[in-house]
Amino acid sequence: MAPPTLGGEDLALELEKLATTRPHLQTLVKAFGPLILEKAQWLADTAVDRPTVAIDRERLAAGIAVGQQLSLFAVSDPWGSAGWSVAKAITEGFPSLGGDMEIILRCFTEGNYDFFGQFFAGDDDDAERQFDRQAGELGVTPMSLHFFLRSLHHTMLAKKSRDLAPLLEGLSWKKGYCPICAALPYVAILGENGQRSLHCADCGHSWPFPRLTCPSCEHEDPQNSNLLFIDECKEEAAFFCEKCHGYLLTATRSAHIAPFHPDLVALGMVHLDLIMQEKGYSPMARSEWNGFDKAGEAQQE
Amino acid sequence: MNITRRRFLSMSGAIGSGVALSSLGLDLTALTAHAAGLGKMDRIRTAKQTISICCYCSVGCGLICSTDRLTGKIINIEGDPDHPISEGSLCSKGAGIFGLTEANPKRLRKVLYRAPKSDKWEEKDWNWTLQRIARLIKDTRDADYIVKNDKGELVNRVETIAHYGSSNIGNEECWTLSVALRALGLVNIDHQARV
Repeated sequence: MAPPTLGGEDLALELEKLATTRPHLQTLVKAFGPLILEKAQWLADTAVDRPTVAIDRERLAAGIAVGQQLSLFAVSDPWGSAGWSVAKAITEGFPSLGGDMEIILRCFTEGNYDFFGQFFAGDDDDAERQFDRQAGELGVTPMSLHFFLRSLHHTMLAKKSRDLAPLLEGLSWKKGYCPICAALPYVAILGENGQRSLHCADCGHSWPFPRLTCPSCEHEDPQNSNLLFIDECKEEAAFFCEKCHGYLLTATRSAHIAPFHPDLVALGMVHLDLIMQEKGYSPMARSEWNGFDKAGEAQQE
Repeated sequence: MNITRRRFLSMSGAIGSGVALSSLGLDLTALTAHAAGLGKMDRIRTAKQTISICCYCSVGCGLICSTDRLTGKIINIEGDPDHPISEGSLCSKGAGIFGLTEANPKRLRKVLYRAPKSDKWEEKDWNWTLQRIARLIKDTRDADYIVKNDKGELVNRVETIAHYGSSNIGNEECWTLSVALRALGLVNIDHQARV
């Protein structure tokens, strides 16, 4: 049984609490809070589609994720409501992108732009090149379109993860990347008895993984498995691997004592992201808020 | 119409790089100041994680030891959730194993001696202590050594000395002690962990 997670009003309260107890996070909570809340609300409001496909267990056991076996997205998926929800949240959290989001929202309202066809089912193998071209056609900046599509992609993947999760029950998965979408984790939770659960950066699926193995390079040498933490706060740390120079935020939490939301856990440790990136390590996966391109530059601002 | 797997991977790669916070126009001054402050106050620690086995009994529960990379001292010990036998669980003795390390401020670091009828502890050195223990054991053993019991059977034992093992001694220490004590003829040997 999946542990209880935060949602609805509790999630909003926890976000408020995070901003109050950690004032250095106020900007990020204000910016990304609406996206976290909207995504949770959209998922709660969207019907669960019971999977009608079968997973190849042997290929899964060999490390081939569901998304590498099957087509995860379909045109019949609720793209419209997801896109609306994401654009609304970005407008609220990032007022400077409001103009671009208004254009994108209008596309959804008027139905004159096929987002699914253009981006998620397009035939151009270079999706990034396509972003630039389509941004010009829409009249928005490539960055706004990138941010919107990334959030939309993650929102839809979260639904797919939720819907497909029953298919994975009882199946073994020993890889450091997600069994649903093959993305790497953005945060790890040490739960009951210290068991490490990795949380996928793209779809939010969680799966158990050995404590001292690097999820990114699967290196197992304990000599290279390290933790960085702040004195007197050992329950929040960054696991880092000396071999691949990747790091993963890691927190000790018990969902049965206090339900948590992995996004809030990761957001609460963003100072560790900054410290690790200043030390030359890279996050195993990019979350929405750990993109410090040049940490040193951010320091000087 | 479904998205192809190739397209899915292309999309994931293209948008996986994320958007830099700086390009979103966010003011990160408070966050960067906080992170810089932690560094200036020397509050950032790094630890190496190694696996070990609990020293107490033959179950052999797995442990993860975190060692401060700067000082080389253990800062935490916990159950290893990936250990096939214990799966992260530890008994009350194992869970308290961190108390054995020098990080435990209550751990005795010097010999304390309380003389008969005294209400005060005195610090003693190890030479005095070991000689005192040896003297008392030798005297008692010499006085009370039993070679044969009432039935005339050879027993070679001492019944007036008992040994009570600490909960903080491990498997190998218990074995060594047991052999040494039986060599002295002791039969009253017990261990706290059994209680």
